Amino acid sequence: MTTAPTDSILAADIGSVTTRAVMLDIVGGEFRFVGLGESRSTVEAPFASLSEGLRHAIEQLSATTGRNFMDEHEQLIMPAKNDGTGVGAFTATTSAGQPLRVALAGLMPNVSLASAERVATTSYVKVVEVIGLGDRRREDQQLDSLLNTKPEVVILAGGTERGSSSAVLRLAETVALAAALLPEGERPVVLFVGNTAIRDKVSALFNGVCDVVIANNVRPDLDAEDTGPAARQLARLYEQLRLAQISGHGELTQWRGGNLIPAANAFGSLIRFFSQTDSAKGALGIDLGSAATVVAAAAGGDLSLTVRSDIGVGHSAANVVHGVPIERMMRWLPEGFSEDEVRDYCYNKSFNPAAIPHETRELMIEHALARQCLQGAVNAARQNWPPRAKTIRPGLLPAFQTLVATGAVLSRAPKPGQAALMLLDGLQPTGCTTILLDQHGLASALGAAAAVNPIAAVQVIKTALATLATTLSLVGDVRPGQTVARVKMAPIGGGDTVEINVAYGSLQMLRIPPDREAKVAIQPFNGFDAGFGPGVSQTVTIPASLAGLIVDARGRPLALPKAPAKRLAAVTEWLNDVGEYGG
Amino acid sequence: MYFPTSTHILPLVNIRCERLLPHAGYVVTHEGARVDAGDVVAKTEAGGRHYIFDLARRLQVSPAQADKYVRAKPGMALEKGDTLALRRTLLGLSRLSMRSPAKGTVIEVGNGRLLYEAAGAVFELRAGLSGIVVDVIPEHGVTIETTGAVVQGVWGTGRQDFGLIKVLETDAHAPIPAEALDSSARGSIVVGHQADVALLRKAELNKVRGLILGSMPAALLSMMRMLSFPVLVTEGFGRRPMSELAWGLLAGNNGREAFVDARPADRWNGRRPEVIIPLPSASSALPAPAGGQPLKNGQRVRVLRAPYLGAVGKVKHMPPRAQYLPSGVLALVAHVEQDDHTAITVPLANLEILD
Repeated sequence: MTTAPTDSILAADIGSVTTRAVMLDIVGGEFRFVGLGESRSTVEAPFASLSEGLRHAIEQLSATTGRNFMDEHEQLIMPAKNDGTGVGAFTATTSAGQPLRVALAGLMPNVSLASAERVATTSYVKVVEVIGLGDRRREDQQLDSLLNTKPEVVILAGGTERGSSSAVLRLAETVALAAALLPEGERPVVLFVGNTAIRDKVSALFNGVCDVVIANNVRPDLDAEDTGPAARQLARLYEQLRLAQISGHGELTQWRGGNLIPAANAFGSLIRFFSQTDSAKGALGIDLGSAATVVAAAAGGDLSLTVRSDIGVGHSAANVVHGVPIERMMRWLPEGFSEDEVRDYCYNKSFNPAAIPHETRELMIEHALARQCLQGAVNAARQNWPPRAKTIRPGLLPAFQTLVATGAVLSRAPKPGQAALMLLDGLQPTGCTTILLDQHGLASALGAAAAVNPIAAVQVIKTALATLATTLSLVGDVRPGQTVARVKMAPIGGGDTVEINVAYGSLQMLRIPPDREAKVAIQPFNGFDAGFGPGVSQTVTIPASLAGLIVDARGRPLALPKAPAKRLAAVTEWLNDVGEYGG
Repeated sequence: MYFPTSTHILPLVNIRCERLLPHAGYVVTHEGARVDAGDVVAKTEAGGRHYIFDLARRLQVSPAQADKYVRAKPGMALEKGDTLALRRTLLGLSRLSMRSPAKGTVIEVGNGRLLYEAAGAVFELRAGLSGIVVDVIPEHGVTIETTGAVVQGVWGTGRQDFGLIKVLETDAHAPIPAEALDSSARGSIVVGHQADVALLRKAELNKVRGLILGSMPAALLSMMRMLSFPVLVTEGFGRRPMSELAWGLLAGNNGREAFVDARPADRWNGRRPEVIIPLPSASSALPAPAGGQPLKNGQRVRVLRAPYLGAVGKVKHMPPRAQYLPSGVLALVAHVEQDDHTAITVPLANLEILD
């Protein structure tokens, strides 16, 4: 449904911790972000209703904007009235539901199962079981495991278009047997994404047992992968099986006349838009949430979405510290922090995900946790970069032109350098990247708004996302201390020109006067690549930003000094110079 | 309006406790029945393992032929060693057979395969606390109503059990010395401030029925999960004493029967690990613990994070504008008067309602 060009939009985003109501309306002939209302999310007990928190957020929005959006029955007024009450359109996104419990069943671990896993990572999912030919368990052991884990969805893959059918059917029989043994209300939905030649046989196997949903073969050929249709089916299943069950969902659908959209998908839409409008280098989006982290990568309109439902800085904090050696978090902290303190903090944070750091000490632990979340999410996304996203070197993050970052731990970082440093350390971007920070938590809402009014979204994005920094991440190898580039930055319209020699291993933040663009001349040495080719010099214009230009010559991949004293000294220097902690 | 979480530490309230089987079974009591903690209220079979037998291969025939040698039909209950399938060869001089590996039931036969479900162990669900059965959930369990004290915690190891409270009065700022726990604790629900590896081992050795602590280092999580009894933590991970409120309530009920439900918190259904101490009440009109309250002036609150972690007081004022914290974060705050009348300023997000 596309609204009339002049319709105002109320876009809601219901997160695990916070619910936001955002008002977009025409101001001075263009759509603008007009106001924001926030409330604690009420999806969980004791409220167990998403509309409760949304009403509170809308009340706050009313107080902020001076406009009334609800009628005497606490229903949204739609369409907008001549007296200024109500709105023209309403959209809603959420990341607040429980992840779906999904089992993967496929043939080869590095073929159909790998593709099934990539499909699973596109939605809010917890993989509870994996069954394949490489599985050493007997069939009855696999059966018992399915019965114990009780998946809600089984993604059944396997067989290229001219390939195996009997092995896939045997696998399907095991799944059908497990489904038949489960009580009727606990049987999974089977999403079949294998050899199309056996679709009818697979459907017949599950006939009378459980529902089967079909999507394109994720592996039509050994060398070809097509996960898009399967991912879309999985997203629909998530909406049907999870979102539709949340109390208050029915009411929202009436307001909007459609479904509640998973926030990850809406966020992905926004990133795809950036990739279509902003050069061939593509865009990367990071949504670092309390319960889940989303990586959306797009180039030339191709989007890859990775959702890690087990990584986050609040509800999922315990998972993060449980899943990696504690040293991986400790390396981001200066002296004076113990492993027990950091571990206890993360576990306690998962009980009270909304709690915020009162003191700098806790802020630093939280930011170390954020770095670990970013690394974990990007590692999961590595298998899935869009084909047109180009890397400077294999294994590194592609040299995305634009990075859109959202999540309260980033947007509420006290200093812009802290947010920039978390992103630099966690993601390790390469080349020249403009980082946009979603300071108001609008990204998913804007992605959803784009579906009803693309013009509104385009116009609002220009002003709603703050430019955090431009980062110049140099790629190459030399000994530490050697000069790898010369960078000269001249603010446009006046201001001091800064010229620096960049030493390998260094990290420098160059401030630009507020609201000023700058011309930056980059001259790499020793074959270093600034994103334009090894040794290729370039002059670019960078936008005005909160943190200015950050030149990162610490190496890619980022290798911290091995000696503990040197590592501590380096990390402390970066935290002080760029992060300005305690300053 | 801000809606913080609530923790219930209540000396006497009306309590409804749901006792459910892990999977469908049958309820052995009825609505209106008075039960004691040790009474069995429901039973089920723990899920037994399954066997898929390749009869064709075992009997050395084709799948199509194998079915005719099957002696056990779907639904048939068998004992260990009973014949599932039998084929005589060489004019009856030789036998190829398949026998049941355990007591169980034939589920399905066809295409030369037989699916067998071994009987699981019988699981008996005990009431866990004394009270009245006010609701029967068919095939799944009961709801028991009682009056008593409730102490909610933040984390538990997942088990449930009941026993008499045994409070160990030791230094609140150090782990309970292992020697403080002896064989007299057998069968008890031990209450203390902190514990270490030595104390946990001693508790296992002395077969306690449960352990309620103020805090535990997260580094000991794996060990705690392997203990045979429930462990419930009231304050969180780290090294800090139990709150005065929780300690006072538990110590004041030393020697009384308690039910420890140490299942981890479930944010979707609001379940928290908790200790229930059934207590008699002259009044039948006791309140039930309330949830979902907005934060208001005068409300009793507890601080969840440093630097005032564990502090208890009353909300005096909530400024409408956000303020900068020492960390640099901008947040809405509350001015709280602690029980000793000193004033602190705390982010709203770092408060919980204490009732």
